[in-house]
Amino acid sequence: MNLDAAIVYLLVGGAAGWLGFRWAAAWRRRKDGGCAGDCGCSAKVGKKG
Amino acid sequence: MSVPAPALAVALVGNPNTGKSTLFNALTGLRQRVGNYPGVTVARKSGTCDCGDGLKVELVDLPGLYSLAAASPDEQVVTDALVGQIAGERPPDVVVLVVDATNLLRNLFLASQLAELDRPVVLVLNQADVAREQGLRIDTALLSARLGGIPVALVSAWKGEGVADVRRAIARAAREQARLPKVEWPANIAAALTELTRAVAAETGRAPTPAEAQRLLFDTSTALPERLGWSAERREPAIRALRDQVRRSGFNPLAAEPLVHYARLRKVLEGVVTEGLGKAGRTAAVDRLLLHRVLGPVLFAGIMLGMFASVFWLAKFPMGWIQAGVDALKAGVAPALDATPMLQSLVTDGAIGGVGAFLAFLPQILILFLFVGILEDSGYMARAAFIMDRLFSWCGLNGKSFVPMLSGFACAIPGLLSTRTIEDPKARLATAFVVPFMSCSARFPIYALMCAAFIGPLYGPGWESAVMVGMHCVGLLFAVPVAFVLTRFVLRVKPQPFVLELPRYQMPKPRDVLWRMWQNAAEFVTKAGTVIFAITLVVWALCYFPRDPGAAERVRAAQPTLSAEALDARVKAEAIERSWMGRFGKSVQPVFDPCGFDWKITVGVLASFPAREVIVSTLGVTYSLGEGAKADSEHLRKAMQEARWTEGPRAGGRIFTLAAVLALMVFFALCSQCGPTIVTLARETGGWRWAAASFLTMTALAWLAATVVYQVVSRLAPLA
Amino acid sequence: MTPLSQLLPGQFGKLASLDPERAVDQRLMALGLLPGMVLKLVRKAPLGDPLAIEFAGQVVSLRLTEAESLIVDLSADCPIQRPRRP
Repeated sequence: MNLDAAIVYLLVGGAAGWLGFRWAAAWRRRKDGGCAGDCGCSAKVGKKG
Repeated sequence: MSVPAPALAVALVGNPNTGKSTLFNALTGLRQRVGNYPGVTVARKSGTCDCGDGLKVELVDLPGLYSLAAASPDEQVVTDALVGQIAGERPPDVVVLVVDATNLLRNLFLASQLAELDRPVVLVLNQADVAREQGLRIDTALLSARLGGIPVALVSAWKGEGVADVRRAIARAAREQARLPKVEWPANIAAALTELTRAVAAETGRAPTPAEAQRLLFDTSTALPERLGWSAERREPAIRALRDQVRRSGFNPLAAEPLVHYARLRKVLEGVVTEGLGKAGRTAAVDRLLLHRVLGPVLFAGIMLGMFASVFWLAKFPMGWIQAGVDALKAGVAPALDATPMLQSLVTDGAIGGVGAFLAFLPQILILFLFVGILEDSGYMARAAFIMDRLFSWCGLNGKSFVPMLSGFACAIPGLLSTRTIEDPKARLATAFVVPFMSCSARFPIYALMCAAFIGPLYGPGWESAVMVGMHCVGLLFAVPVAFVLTRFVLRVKPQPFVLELPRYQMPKPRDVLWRMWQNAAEFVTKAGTVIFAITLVVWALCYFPRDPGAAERVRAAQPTLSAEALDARVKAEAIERSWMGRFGKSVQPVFDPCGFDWKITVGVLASFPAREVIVSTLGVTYSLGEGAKADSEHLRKAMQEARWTEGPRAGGRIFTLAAVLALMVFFALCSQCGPTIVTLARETGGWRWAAASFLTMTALAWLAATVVYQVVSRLAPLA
Repeated sequence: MTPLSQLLPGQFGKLASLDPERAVDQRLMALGLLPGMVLKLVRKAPLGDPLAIEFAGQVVSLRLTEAESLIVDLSADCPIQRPRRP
C-alpha cells in the first residue's frame, strides 16, 4: 500500500468513525432528555459547569 | 469549561415583551451559554454577570410569562426553577423581575404572585425611555417602600441606561434579603388555603408551600396534584368543597386570585405613577396601516416577498466572493498534491468542493436571520400571527401554533421546542406534526442552487424570487390540510384559546439582532467544518471506490480519437458510475424515476436523509467527480445544466428540465430528511409512533408531489 | 349589555361580566381584564377574526368565539381616555 492510499483511508476512516461516535453520543444525550445540540437550533447543550 | 461556582444564582423573570432579553444581553455581555433544562426541551439561557466588588453571579434568563398559573411546560419550568425543583439547579438566591415601566399594573401581577415564593427580589422597571416619552413619572422610592423595601431600578436596557444600577441592586438584594410583601387574602380564602394545606399534608405526607396551595385552589389546569401525588378521586371532592367555601365569601374561586391581587396592586401604585404631558406612542398609527383590512395583508405579503428577494440580491455578491475564494483555493492546492492523485481528488473534489458548496450559502442564512431578528424584535411577528390566525384556526391550529411554525422556517427543532407553549397536549401534538413541513433554512441551499442554476438564467430574477417564495409556501400548503385531517379526524382537538399580546412597536436593538445572526453563523460554519466535512469525505469515498485501474485503457481502446481532456472526463464519469454510490443510486433510481431524478440525484436524495443540506455538497462531489478536476462552482452549475440522460427512454434529453428542477425542489420541500427532527419529535410526542408517522407521511407526500409536478410540468412544457 | 363579539371597531365599553370557568377568560383576568374595566374593540383582523381589544394600556388579540363570554356595558359612562393608568 502506498502513502497516498494510506492517508486517504486514514482520513475517510477517521471521518466515518467520528460521525458514528458523534451519532452515538447524541443518541445517549437525547435519552437523558432535551435536545442533543446537533440539530442546528440555538439550544445547544451547555457543558455542565 | 470549568467555571468556578459563582457566588450567587440569579433568575431573570418577567412578562413577554418587556425587553428582558435585551437586559440579559446588557448584563452578561456576550458571555452566554445556551442549553436546555434536563428532561424538558425548554431553552435555558445563562450567563455570568459582574455585580461589582468582585461579586460574580450566574444569571439565568427564564421564559417570559404573565402568570404563575402554569398551563404550559414553558411556564412550568419557570415556576419549578424559581422554587429550585429542577434537578441539578439550585433555587435562585435573587429573583430579578423585569417589568414594562409603561404598564406597571399588568406587569406587577406577576410580582404579586412571586411574593408567595418568598425570595429576595429586585424590581427592574425597564423601558424607562418610553415611559419618559409618554410623560410618565415613576416614584421609585415610594414604590420600593410600598413593596417591602426591595431594590427598584428604573432602566432602559435598550439605551443602556441604568444597567449598572441593576448590578448594584442585585448585590443589595443579596445583602439585605428584602422580600416582596405577600397579599392579604380575605378571611374565607385564607381559611380555605389553610385547610387545603392540611388536607394535602394528611393525604401525601408533605405539606404544600403557600404558593402551591394557591395553585391547587385557584387553577383548573395545573399539573401540581399529580406531582404532589394527590390522586384525582381524593382531591376533587376536597377542592370542590373548598371552592364552595370561597364562593360563600362572595368571590368566584376562579376569579379570586386576579381580583385580590389587582385590588391590592391598585393601592400599591396609588401616587407612584404621575402622568405628565407626553407623546402618545406611534404604535396605534402604525397598526392602522399594517393591520389595515386591505393594506395589511398586502403589506404582509410584500414584506415576506421583499425579505426573500433581498436575501437573494444582497447575498449575491458575498456568495460570489466565497465561490471565487473556494475555486482559487482548489486551484492553489491541486498542484501541490500532484504526487498523490487519490488524496488530490479527496481534497479538491471532496473536501473543498463539498464544503465550499455548503459554505457558499452562509451569506443567505445570515441575511435571512437578520430579517427574522428585525421582524421579531420590532413586534411585527405578533401582528403576522394576528393576520394569519383565521387561516390557521379552521384547521384546528391557532396563533400559538403560528409561532412554532414560523420558527420552523428557520429550523424545525426550535419550532418543535416552542410547541411547549401550547397547553393542550393534542393541539401541541398536531402542531409538532406540521412544524417539520415548514421550509427550514437547511432547505434553502437546494432551492438557491436550483434557482441560481436554472430558474434565474432561464426566466430572469423575478421568477427566481417568486419560485423561492413559492417553495417556502409549498410546505405550508401541505401542512394545513394535514393539520386539518389530524385535528378533525385523528386527534379530535378542541378549539384552543388564542390570547396574544400585540406589543408596542420597537426599534430592534442592533446588538441583539447581530448577536442572533452571529450565533447562527457560528453554528453554520461549525457544522460546515465538522459534520458536513466528515459526511463529504465519506460521500467522496463512496463515489470514488472501488477504483478500476484498467478503466482508462479500456476507454482509450473503445474511442481512440478522444482528446486527453475528454478522455479524462469520460474515465471519471465511468468511475463514479461504477463506484459503490453509483451502483447503489442506480439500483434505487427506478423508485425516483417517476419524479424525473437520475441516479446522481437519487444518490443525493438518499445521502440527504440524515440531513437534507447534504444534497448540495453531494451534488458538488458527484458532479465535480464526473466532470473533471477543474470543476469549479460555476462549472458545477454548468455541469448540471448540461447533464443528460445516458440511458432509458429519456436518453439524450437534459436531466434538469424545468419539470425535474421543480420536482426536486418540491421533493426537498416536503421530504422528512432530518435525523434530529425525527428524534426530537419522538421525544416531544412521547414515543416513536408519531415520529414514524411523520416520517412516512412526509416522505410519501414528497414522492407523490414530486411525481405529480414532474409528470404535469413535463407534459405542459416538454421543452422547458 | 352586549357580548364583546358584537362590538364595532372603535366602540368603548365597560366589562360587565365574564365567565371565569373558561380558560380564555382566566388568561384575560391575569392580564388585568376584570369586571368594571374599560375596554375598546380596536379592530378586527383583515379576515374578520380575531379581534384586537385594548384595556389597561395593552392591546390583546382574541377570537370572536372567545369574545362571546365577555359581556360589555356600552351605556356605562366611559370617558374617552387613554384607559391605561392604574
